[in-house]
Amino acid sequence: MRQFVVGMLLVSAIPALTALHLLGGRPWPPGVAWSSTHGIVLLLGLVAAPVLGAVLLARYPLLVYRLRRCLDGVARGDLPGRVELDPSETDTADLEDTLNIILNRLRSRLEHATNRNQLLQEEIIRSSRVRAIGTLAAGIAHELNTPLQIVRSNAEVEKAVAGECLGVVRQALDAGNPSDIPAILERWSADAADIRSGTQQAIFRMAAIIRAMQSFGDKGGVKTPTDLNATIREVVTITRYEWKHVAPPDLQLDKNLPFVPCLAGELRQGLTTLILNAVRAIAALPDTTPASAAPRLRISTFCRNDMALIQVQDHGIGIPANLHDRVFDPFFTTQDPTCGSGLNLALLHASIVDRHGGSVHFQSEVGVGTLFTIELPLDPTR
Amino acid sequence: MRLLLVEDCPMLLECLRSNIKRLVPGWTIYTAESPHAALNRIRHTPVDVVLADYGLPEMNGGRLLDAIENEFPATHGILLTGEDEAAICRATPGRRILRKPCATRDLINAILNAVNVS
Repeated sequence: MRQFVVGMLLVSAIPALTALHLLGGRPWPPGVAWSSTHGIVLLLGLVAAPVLGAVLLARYPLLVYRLRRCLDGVARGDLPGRVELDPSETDTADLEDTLNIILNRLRSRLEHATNRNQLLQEEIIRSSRVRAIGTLAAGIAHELNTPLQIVRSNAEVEKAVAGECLGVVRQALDAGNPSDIPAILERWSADAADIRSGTQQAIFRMAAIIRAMQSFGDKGGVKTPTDLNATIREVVTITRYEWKHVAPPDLQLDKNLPFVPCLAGELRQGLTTLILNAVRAIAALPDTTPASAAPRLRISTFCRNDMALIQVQDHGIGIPANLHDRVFDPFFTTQDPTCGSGLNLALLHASIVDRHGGSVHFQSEVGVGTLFTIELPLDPTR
Repeated sequence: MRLLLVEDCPMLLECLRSNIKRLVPGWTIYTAESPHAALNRIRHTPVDVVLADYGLPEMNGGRLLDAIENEFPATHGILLTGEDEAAICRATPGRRILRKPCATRDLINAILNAVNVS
């Protein structure tokens, strides 16, 4: 900066002195006689001043240009390493230092924000999975209560029937008719077996629901070869309460589908979202077509080229064309905000595209329905 | 006693029918898997008590019992529910409610109470 001021003074002083000489016609400084030497010095000054000025001034546009290029880069989002504005000069060192301090701070803030963002994203995925189970919890409880009712009722009645049988046996003994006893026991045994078979079925039903619930709890941060058909069946089991009166799904699962490397927990969550959305789209239809009509919800799996495909198709109300671009946007929802977070399809998209290297897309028409397709690569190295 | 059971899970419907029959063999028990079938049945053969599940297709058990009691004032309705009891109470105030899982004996007592109280 000091050099700049000196330069400016020189540049402006020499022509000013020259002008004074020429206009005033008086020797200057006072008492000094005008000579040809003065003229030469003056002439040299006139030539030297613009040259010196140009040299000094040229550095500043260059400095400004470098500074601007650096700041433009920062504005675009790339933070450069250490910046050197003018390596040959020491007077820009202060400016450079300040700039580098700012860049360092920005860099560390950005790093911090990126880490935080990563953590938040993981937390959103975790909490939305918990939320998914929460949404389903009431239905799952109901689905468990039905077989539980069977078990409780049967346990009580089996005991009553056994007590009754014992009474009849005693009566037969007291009446001196022991020959009746085998027939009594046989009748009781058949009845008890009947009750037990009902109990067993109910227990199997409860076990299937609980297994499906456990699979939802799986954190599974590592891709494992997964039976997509089994995963779909688990999700169908866990969402039964939601679809049973609306649209029992028609499963068209390819029996020859190979195991697909994937994050099963995320996939389950995504499939739950697609099934619940489909059921809501069907439930929102104005007329309730009889249950005997063609299935309105179909889930299918198949292979195409080196991809495994899962399709969830509903004949529900469909998505209006003007919303198609926003379907995968985070926080976009057409449902009551207390009901839909607007995150589920965004999470599904992030999971399939970013973490599985696959794709998820849909076709939808109002009044016709919606078809969602998930494509997962069979090759784990992709 | 003539009883109509309405439950959309066939396994539970059969379980309740046969277990009530085992404990009170003298009762006549009809079954229906949907509100539509229940209304058809009751229009064909009147009953004393209807025991209905809450989560039924077409209409919920509360609305079914309201419709039945409206059409057949002598018939008593009882709800059997696997849902949250408080929510069901709010949805159908004043209704007799039994919560799954309940003992078959409790079911039978509730049915007898419904008939005796009236």
